[in-house]
Amino acid sequence: MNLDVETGTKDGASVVTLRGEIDVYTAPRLRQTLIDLVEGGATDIVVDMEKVDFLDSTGLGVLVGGLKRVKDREGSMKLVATQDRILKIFDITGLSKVFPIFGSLDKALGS
Amino acid sequence: MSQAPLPDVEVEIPPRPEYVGVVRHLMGAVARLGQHSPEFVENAKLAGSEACTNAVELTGRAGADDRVDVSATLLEDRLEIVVSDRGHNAGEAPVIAPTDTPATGFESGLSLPLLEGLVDELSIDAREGGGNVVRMTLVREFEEDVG
Repeated sequence: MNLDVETGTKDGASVVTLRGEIDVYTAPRLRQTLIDLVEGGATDIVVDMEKVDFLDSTGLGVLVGGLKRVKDREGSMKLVATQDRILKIFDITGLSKVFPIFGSLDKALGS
Repeated sequence: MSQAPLPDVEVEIPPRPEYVGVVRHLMGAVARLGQHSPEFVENAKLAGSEACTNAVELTGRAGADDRVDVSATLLEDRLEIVVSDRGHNAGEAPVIAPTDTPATGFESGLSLPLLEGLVDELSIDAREGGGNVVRMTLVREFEEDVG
């Protein structure tokens, strides 16, 4: 059970690349990363979830919290996800209507 | 009845976040024993993980340290998962209600809709002696590919 969280910048956006499992144990690291980015002034955030093997409601909650924070600063947060197991969770909870979800990082950055 | 011998699994975990993943992978392993589809296995992992996360949260909210009981019963066409805790009564202040959880500060309220969308049967009851019992049943789809 592990989650790797990498941050970088590309085309002016802050890109958070996730690998592994996001649950109640690992989600605090993602939460802190998003807080640090927003408090550091990032307003265009892309979270790449292509390498995420598992996501639960705790992880969703962290993403929602990050979205709220960045929107409070007139910013945006986009997601990259194509795996059915991940997309299904956004669909069930209705969050697919809340988050812009793209099929690749390039598409997210170019939107 | 052509029902084969049924493997049953019971486990107790400490009410701590790092053990939720243990249950998740155990539920996945049990579902695979039933030769269910990859989607069914993923649903079992997610359902077990969600219920255990709630149990850990409710136990922490109650200031208790009682272990969380998890059982899985594999039947021919379904998987039954039961998660029991000695935590705060979910009926009084459900962790699944929209709120920031005191223990983690996460945005929450997404667990119940997720569980309802995942499993075929779901019940959340008060446990005798205090706590909660979450019972979930995942039924194999008729056309499900056996993998």
